[in-house]
Amino acid sequence: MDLNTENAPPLSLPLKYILACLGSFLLLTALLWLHSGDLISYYRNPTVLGLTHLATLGWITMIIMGAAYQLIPVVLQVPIYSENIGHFGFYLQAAGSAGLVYSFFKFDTNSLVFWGALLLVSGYLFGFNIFRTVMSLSRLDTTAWWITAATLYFLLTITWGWIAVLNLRMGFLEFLGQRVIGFHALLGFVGWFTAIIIGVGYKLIPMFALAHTEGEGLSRTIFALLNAGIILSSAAQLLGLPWIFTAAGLLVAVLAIGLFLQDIRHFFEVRRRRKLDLTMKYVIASLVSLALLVLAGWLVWIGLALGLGPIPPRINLAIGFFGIMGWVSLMILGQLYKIVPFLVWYNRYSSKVGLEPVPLLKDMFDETWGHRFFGLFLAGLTLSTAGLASGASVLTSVGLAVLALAAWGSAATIIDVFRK
Amino acid sequence: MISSEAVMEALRTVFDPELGINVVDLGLIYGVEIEGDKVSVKMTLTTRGCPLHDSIARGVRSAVKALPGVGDATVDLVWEPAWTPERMTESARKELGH
Repeated sequence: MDLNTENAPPLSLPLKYILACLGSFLLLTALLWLHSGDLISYYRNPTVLGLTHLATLGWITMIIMGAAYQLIPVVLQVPIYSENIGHFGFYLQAAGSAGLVYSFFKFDTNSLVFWGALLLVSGYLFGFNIFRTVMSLSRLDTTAWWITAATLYFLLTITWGWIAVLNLRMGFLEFLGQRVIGFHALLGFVGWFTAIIIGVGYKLIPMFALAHTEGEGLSRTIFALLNAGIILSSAAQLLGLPWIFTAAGLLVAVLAIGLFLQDIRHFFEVRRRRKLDLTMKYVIASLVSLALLVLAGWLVWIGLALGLGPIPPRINLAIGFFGIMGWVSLMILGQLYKIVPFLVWYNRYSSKVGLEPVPLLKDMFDETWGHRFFGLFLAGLTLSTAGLASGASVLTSVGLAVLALAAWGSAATIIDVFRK
Repeated sequence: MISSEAVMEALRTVFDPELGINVVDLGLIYGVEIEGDKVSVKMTLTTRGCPLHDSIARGVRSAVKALPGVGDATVDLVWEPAWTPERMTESARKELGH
């Protein structure tokens, strides 16, 4: 009998990552609201850098790592190379993330170098663990390629991030400093976050929607295009090539994202599970955010091409904020409504199936409250993005308060699963 | 004497916890063989790589083994022919919103 979850690690491994990511999310949304004035004033200040890294390391990277340890053994049907590395890496990642974020708030460059180095060790341990796991496969399918590529981008992102903080301390890069930061941000957002979501999304979205189609859709084409786009645009950033090269790279990446959205639309059209559950609603909202993000990005580039002058910093900030809190965070929240109930259900009820009535996964959390907080999150996201883009401080503050309320409510709904 | 009807009835108590539909109505059961007190169930699952695989397959085995007169139950999990949504019963389709 083919028992997939025989390869799955014990609950404690993904759970510690999930709890840390939820804690970071609560802190992030509360701090965003408390510091809304700093966001409006100037976006490249220590507070914004601290908040950005709280979001990217504490919230997003933490959940990707936890989900990777949970899902890779199941999806790729191979055990994780070393669970011990996963456990040990967590403490390094948690300490490194907390230290780096605090150092950004204080803008202490010595501490940034130290905590950055710790994160580098943690990241490379994670990468080593994932690569060794993938290498144990007899044949790499498309999902394995996506995971491998995204992990490589993650390692490049943290390496260049550390070089950037080292440069803050020592100033050896001189005029190259800005390019390194652009390279670091682009690799992190498009290479790490977007590639991993697209790659794993190709597996999970049709599975949850019961959308059975022939073959893998355009996954391989999209993989090639997105990687070509990332390499071209990030190399252009690093080498300081004229903006047209970055734009060309991003155009190829946008084409890949457009094809991905088209493929997912097809999955939704042919799905047999017509009723959309909470996760699917989050997924759709996240994909709509991605489409809006691509559109906004292109409007900005067209503006540059037409010589309309530099983008106002507040627009840059609003786009970055929407990317993190819209596209990425909506996807994560939606998946948490699947991952946490599954983990708890699996540990409590899996052995009782067939012997006594057991709850369904949707019975593991309060769906009504989940839907309410979902609506509230969308309202908060819309208001705060509009506030940041227009520079309206009251609107931003109200939007971030609504967002924080929705985030705390959603986290409470998810954590309540442990009582079921 | 164990009947295949009794086995199928027992299997209706095993639900896919994600979809909320029992394995019979989902069309996952390809066949039941009974030899004396031994029951063998040939079945598939909706998707390869589904995290709930072993819970469902183990649940099928437990439900059959709990039937009076069953000495041993085995589950033969197969991927050919692959499951398609057309294998679902009318009530399962309704449950999914069709």
